[in-house]
Amino acid sequence: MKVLYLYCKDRPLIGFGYFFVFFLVILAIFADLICPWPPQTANPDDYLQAPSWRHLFGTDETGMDIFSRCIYSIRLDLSIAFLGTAVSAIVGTAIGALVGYYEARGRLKTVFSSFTMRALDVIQSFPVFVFAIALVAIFGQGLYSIIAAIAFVNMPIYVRLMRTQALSIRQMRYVEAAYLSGLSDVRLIIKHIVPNSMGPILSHLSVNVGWSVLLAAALSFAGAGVEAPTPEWGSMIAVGFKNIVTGQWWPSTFPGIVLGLTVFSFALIGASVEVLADPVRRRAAIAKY
Amino acid sequence: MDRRSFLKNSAAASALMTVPLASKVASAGKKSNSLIFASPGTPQSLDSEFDTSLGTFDFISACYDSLIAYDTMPDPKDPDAKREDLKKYPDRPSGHKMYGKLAESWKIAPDMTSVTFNLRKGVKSHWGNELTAEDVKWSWDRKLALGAIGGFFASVIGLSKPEQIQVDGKYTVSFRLDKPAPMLMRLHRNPYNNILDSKKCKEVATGDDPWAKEWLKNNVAGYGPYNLVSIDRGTSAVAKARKDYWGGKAAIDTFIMQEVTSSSQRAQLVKKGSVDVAQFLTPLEVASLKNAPNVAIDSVQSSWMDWLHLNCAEKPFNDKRVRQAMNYAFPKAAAIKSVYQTYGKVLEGVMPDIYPGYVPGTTYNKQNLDKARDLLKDAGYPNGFETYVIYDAGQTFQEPLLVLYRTALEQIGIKLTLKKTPSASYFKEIVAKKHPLTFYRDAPWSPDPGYALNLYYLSSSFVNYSNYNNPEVDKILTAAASEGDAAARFEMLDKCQSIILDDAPVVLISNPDFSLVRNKDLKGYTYRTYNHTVAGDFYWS
Repeated sequence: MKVLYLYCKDRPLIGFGYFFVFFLVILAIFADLICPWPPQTANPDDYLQAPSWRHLFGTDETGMDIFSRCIYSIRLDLSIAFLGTAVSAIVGTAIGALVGYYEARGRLKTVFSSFTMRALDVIQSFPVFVFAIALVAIFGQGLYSIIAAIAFVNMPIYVRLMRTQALSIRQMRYVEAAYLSGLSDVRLIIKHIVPNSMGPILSHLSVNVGWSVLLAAALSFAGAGVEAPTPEWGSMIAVGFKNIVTGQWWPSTFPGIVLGLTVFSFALIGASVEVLADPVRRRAAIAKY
Repeated sequence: MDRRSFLKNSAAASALMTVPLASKVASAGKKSNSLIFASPGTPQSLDSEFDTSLGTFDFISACYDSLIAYDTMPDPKDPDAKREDLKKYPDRPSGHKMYGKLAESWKIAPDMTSVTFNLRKGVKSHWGNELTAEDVKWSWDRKLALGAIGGFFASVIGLSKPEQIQVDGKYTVSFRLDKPAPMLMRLHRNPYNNILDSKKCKEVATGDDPWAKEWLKNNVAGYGPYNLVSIDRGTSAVAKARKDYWGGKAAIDTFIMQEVTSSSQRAQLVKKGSVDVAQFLTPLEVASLKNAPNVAIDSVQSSWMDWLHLNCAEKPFNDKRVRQAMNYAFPKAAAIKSVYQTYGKVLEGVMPDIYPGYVPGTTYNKQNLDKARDLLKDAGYPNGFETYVIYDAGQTFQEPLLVLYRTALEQIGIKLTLKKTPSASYFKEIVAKKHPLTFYRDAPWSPDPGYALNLYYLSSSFVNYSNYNNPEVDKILTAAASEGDAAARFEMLDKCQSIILDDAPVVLISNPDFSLVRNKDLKGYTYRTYNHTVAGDFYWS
């Protein structure tokens, strides 16, 4: 924490990123206490009310309070993003470690590696958003489908990152020594390859969480996300989008701002993790303290 | 059309298509004496026998004519608009106030088993062929032979074989039926039943396609006021007024249907004056244009009905009490005020209230959650149940209505899940008749209680999406279909409506208005119960 504090001291924007994400998490935990209105209850008497003390962010066309819905959305959007990213990181790391470790170790294993990498090429050749929509269409609309889609489209990045790391670490003396001492392949991968390859993976995680928030919102915006009237930033923007033309700017603007700040904050955190995960760069960054 | 005239027309059409849209001034259409519609879709086909896609009937109505039509009258709600006069006229033959279009006069048998039409002489088609009785016969023979949408209309009036349509002379044709057909005249004004130029159609027909199905998809051969210039699906369709139209040249030279899929974009285009008419806007978009300069709003009572089909064949909606509870729970007044922006009213009966023979219901007009709870308790669902509804993602007004309904249902213990369905597969889901609740907007195009009730509530009807089956209703509807005495028939259908209302196979929501936003200098809008606009009605003031 001290290192983080010292790092952020000279970098207020990075500090804002951490603060905003922390703030979001607090809001999500205490949403039931903070929100003045239930997030999914229509109140037609209050439809399309402009921002006021009664409704801080105004109301949408069914009279639901935008402020309360924005706060409740944090729970869902961050859960989707964290779960989707975690699944992609775990599965991608495991596949990447296996591919990297076995590459150049025997003909059959090279075939396995080549096949995996070409399969990833195919997956990555599709536009991510279109691919995610297609996956949701196949699995059916719902929370788990969105998480699965996010995990699937993110996974190749982790496979590639881990493979590159594994290829290099596999050549290290201590890995050779462990191999010669009779450690099984699985234990060698778990004990030595994976722990020593985690730097780039960790730094990518934070950026990826922000990106996953954006993807989840985009899926909902396109109508392939959560079911109405579940509070979710993307679907709120989609529902409120048509009101901009009719003069009601608030139903889509506020969730848009919160979404933008969230993605930005995770990107800032990602940039700092990249530095802080590297001992040399970390020392240099806080050298003056 | 020769090469020279084709090039000339194409160039004119291209210029008209691009110039007004790029223009920033209002009344672009007026200056060039054109009429530009911003529509959600261009016609997929020009053959109404097979196509009901968006835009089809707006375009077909410009190019084709029917034998007869309803007289019009000023709209009671909108002083700028006119509408069909659907009132009962017992002193007139068949009880309607109609005028002849392609038919100059007609004679109906008192028992409604036959009608003889005397056609106008000298009426020329798009291809220069004169209208004769053979064209009328061929148009109806085609329906019988193809058995598609027209086959349904033939069956409604009990027309089953070509011999029932007789050519009595060059300009005289008669329909002779086995039983009284109360719908006989109403169906002849339906835009599905326009008259084709049989000479041209036979000319382009092939051995494999004797009814010119393929050709009529992309061409017109009829007797209407406009002729097709071009059709570019997904972009635009253009028609030009005919100088040799029997009723005189239409007031506006060129009719352009521009495809603009987004309703908010259509609203913006008409506001800027880039198009002359914007159709199918959301009520909120219409309301937002109320004070816009250069535009006027025509909002009239329509035949549309918004309702939720309850699957009467499956639990829990196989119980009448549950269906009634679902009706009592809907917050209708709140929906009219917020979602419909008062462009509509509560749907009180089981058919459009603008039709003759409509029986108003007052049972479910107001939300009554206590009554709904009692009914659920009686039906064995004191704690409610879970269910879902499917709705069309492309119809943006449906979701907010269902969100309102969901909140109301929560209060009586029913958990409703909203399943948004892409427009492309929505209709497929509806006709599957397997979902517990489905949102649907529909209108019976022929203003007749027998027609409307048969469509939605006869157990064997394809359009009975609720799986509603009441043998008593079936018996009355079947008997009424061949009842020649109008008063007796209406009495039977009154009773039928009361039974259906009590059975509550649908959740009644609203009669939405038909709203159209137009350039304020464009006049002549006339509402017809098929909820499509006829280009020939308009003129620039």
